[in-house]
Amino acid sequence: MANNNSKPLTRISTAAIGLAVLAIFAVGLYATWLRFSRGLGATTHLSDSVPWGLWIWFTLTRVGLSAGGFILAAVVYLFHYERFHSIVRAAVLTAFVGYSLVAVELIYDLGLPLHFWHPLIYWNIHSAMLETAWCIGTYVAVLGMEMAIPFTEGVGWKKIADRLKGLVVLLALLGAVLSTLHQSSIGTIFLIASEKMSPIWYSSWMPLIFLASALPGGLGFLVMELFMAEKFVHWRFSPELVKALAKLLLGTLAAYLIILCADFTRLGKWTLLANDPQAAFWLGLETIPGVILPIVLLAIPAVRNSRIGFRIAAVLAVLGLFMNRLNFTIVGFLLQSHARYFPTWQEISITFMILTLGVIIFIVAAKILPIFPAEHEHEA
Amino acid sequence: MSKGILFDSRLCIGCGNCSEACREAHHLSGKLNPTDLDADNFTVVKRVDGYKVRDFCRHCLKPACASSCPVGALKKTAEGPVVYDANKCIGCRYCFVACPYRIPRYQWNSTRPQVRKCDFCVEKQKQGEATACADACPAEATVFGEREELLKEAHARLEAEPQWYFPKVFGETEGGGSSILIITSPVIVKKALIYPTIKTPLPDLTAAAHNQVPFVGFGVGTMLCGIWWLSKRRNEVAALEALLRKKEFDGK
Repeated sequence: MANNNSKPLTRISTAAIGLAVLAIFAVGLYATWLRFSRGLGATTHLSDSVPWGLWIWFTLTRVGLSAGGFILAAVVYLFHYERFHSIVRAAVLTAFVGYSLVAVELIYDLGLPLHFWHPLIYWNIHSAMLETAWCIGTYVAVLGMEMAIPFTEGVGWKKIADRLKGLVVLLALLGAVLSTLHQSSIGTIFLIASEKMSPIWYSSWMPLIFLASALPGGLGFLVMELFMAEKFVHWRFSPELVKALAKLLLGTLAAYLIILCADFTRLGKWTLLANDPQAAFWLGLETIPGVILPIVLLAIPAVRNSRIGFRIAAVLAVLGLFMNRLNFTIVGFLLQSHARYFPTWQEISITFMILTLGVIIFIVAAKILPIFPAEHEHEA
Repeated sequence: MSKGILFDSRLCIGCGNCSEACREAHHLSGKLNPTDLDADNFTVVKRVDGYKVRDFCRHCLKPACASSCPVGALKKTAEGPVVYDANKCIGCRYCFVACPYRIPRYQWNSTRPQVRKCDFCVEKQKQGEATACADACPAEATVFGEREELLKEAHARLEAEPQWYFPKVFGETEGGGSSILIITSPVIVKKALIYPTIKTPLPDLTAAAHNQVPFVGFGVGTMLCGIWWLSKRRNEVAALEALLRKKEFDGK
């Protein structure tokens, strides 16, 4: 490990992290065995009145967090903003890992996981979920082709890599269209639950709100991954990149907040909110630290252009997306049905395992594939 | 013409025969006198302050469950029943989220769980028979027949006893209407009856956005192509201008 400063302390912390990962996988795999041998009832707190829980919450959040992949591909290859070029592959990798985990997580959640392929042949074209599944499925294929570029480069198949590079614009276009569609379709999924959700969250604009909230969430998550990558690969944020990304994050957060406020005004939800302290609490938990605070932070140039300020804003945007999807998938329903739900240790440990798996795949891929530009590698 | 059931709270004596006949007809292991639906009880009699109402699948005319199911495992048949095909089902439980009546029940303790609910005795109907619950009702509180005729009958009963009934035939228009019609007392309506307040069929709420998908896809695609061309052109022009400026500078 010539490139690592192998101080004793680093070795100890590496060992500690390794042990934690092992523990997470041991518990997660045991929970996995229980889940598939005993069924959902024995291992989750899901019920007829709470049919979607922790796993669906994380699945839907993960789709939003993966939005960075299509945003960066579009910004670089369609909008020709070259200053983001150094992170476009990292963004695509983040999305590719994210959507792969969506598939893994859904296998756990489906009652009949062996039927997971049925949407390929049995079509109900009126179902928003079928459309979402197809858009995600085809987008994963697009991401696979985008990932094939660093893969073929890394393996040394230069000819194939060059061929694939000729497709980047087309892939970015397909990715952006399919992502716009499925990010918003997840909002469409909830349209049918008109009176089963708290009116604070239900809106005919849910497709737009899901899309608009995924943009800052996805960008924020990409920024978090990039800060993490700095520890593992020889790549550092340039001040210009921080500046440009911070502005992009601020813009998407502001756009989302405007849409949300417009929707509240349009449907007269403000009075509703004043009379529903519980819903107000949860909405506040979602929007104050997750949308308004990062906007305030990013609006201050000194904070926006500092690494730490930018990083905090990104983390807040990610937490905001987590809280938003929690409110849509669980809280909004519980407030209406007065049912109760808290996940079991099996649900939690499996979620942690999948999360850890994602981080490991990202780090390994970032280390062995040419994800970050080579010229920066020699700088550090 | 499609079939329907009329349930009349005023005539119900609360004997539970409907529930028992249902379990027998569907070979269910559910317990006697259930208080709520479960995977082995497709219909229950709910009681509030001496009033009774049956809870079971309403077999909506435009069912939310059938429109939401990605693989078409739930279907509305022309004769009336909303039927379930476990061979197609993937177990996503979107139908649970969609159903405005909170009807579907899951076999949570099975490793191959199915969605369970009243099937409107679809097999008996195919033989030209009435549903098990209607056959078993000793008080004619549950009547099986043509929906149109039952609707007329329901309105006639409301008019005959206006002081007893809540002035509405539930299932006539709620959420687009259902094959099952219920007339009941104001107490039940207040405390035990779940009904969508909107008259729009719930699948139409989805369709409003869902039908835009091709246009949004095409529109976003076209717009992005335009942006691609414009930004490319902008960069080319900028590069050319820089080159010209450099040449001019070199020339001087």
